[in-house]
Amino acid sequence: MKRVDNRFLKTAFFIFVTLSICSLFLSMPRILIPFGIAYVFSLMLRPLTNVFYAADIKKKLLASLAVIFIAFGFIYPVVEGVQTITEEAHKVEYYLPRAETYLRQKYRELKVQVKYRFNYEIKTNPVDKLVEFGQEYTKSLFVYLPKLLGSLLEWGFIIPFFLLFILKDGRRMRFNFIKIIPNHLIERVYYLFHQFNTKFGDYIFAKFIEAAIVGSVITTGLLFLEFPFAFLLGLFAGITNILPYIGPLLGFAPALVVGLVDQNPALGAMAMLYIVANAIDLALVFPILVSKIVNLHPLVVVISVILGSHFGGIVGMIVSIPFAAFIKLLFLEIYNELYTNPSIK
Amino acid sequence: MSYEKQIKEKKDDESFKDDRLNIPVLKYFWQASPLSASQKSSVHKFLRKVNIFDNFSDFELRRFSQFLHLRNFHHGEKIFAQGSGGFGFYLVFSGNVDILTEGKGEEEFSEHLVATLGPCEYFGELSLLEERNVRNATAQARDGVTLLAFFKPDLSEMIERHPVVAAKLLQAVSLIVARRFNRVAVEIKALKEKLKLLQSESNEES
Repeated sequence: MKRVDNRFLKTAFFIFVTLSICSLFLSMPRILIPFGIAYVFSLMLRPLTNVFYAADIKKKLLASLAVIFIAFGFIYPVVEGVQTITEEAHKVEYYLPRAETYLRQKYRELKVQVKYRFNYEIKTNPVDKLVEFGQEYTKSLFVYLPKLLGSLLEWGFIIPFFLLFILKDGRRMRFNFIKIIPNHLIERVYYLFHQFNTKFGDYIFAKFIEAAIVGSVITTGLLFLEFPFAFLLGLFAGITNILPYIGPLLGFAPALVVGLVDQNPALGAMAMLYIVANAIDLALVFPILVSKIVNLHPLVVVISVILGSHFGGIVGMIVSIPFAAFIKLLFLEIYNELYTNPSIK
Repeated sequence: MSYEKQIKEKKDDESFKDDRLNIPVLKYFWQASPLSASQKSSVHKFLRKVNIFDNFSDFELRRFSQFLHLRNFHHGEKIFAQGSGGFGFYLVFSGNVDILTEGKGEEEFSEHLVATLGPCEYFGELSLLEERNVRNATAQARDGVTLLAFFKPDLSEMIERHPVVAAKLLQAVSLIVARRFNRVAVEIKALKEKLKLLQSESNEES
């Protein structure tokens, strides 16, 4: 009886500690987000850290080098990019009425054409709704964007601090956490924890690289074409590219509107640029980086993205896919345990 | 007189060398002290006694010991059950472990004791090699047992960080598997001979 109690107590304590850590992090997004980013950076540095470990180079030196890497590779481009992108975001506010006028005019022309050809009068007016929807979301996006970039600067100081400790003490912390896992759960929990860690980290890292490649190709191309809002459109295309299937179309939509409103002569070239950037992504980046990490049915991917956006907004959309992959793994583990384990009857 | 001058003067004096603290000697006695050694730091010394790690250097054993988890089990506690998925390899640090196989008898499940493992012995090595390992026996603690556990995720990490140590470990695990395979082959051979003998006896009788 005493043993059963002991096992029960250990399990209860483990669940309590795990839930406490999770709820503590979730209740403090200002810590959770930079910590999450620091964790992703630690995963990005993994090939380098392994080389350092293999060469038996001290952890402190490694952590210091990582901080320098972050300072030059992350903070400097953010500081440089913030001003350009904020300037472009402000220009967009003046640009929106032009886009609205253009859409209204085109819709009026369409109505006349339909009346002339089919003798049918279109009574509904979706343009009003579309413009209202567009204005609301674009304003909130461009109000949110400089704020996001501003908090990036704040994170620029916190993230290296977290990264330093993840690299220096992360392994020891993980080993200490493993100590409280009860004996009857240790093998499965540790394995699932490792799988989740690997899948989640690898997926975020792969998507980050994918978004950076697509964003860079589009920004460079738009600058070359002297297309307006090159940085903003590149950044937007990179961010939306994180979303599967609809992401590339969403990223292309604002560029198309800008091109049509301005009657930009480089419109065709711009469209080709988006196609080429997404073709590079689909043909080279996605198969190498992402597809091996998550092996999910397209329907599951779409449902998990919708659910992710419902519960967690943009961050929810990004993390929904690795989370779904982990749920699948967990389900398979439980299924195998219950249905293929001969000792359980 | 300044401190630097004092040191300079003393440096030329031969007796000064005897006054100095001999740091390496102090360090040796500190490390050799049974009071200063924790359980964790004695792990690599324990590993030295395990025959499968004969080809490991002391440095490699220290590296390997950093990946091991000390787990305590009380009397009768199951370490793993037959038929469950396996992700861990265990070394018996102290105490004894019973290896049992479960079989379906006429009315209910019965357990048969296959072996009792003591300190410096090991079990569960196949879980490190197979993609989806299913335990083919139950391991149960007899009295209080302390085990050193090495799990599959640790192996993945070790392959990335210390490939030479990981290669040596996999070589050691392969050696265990090869030994077990040879033992099984000999047993099968003996059983086949017995079967042949029984068949020939039954033919003669008929």
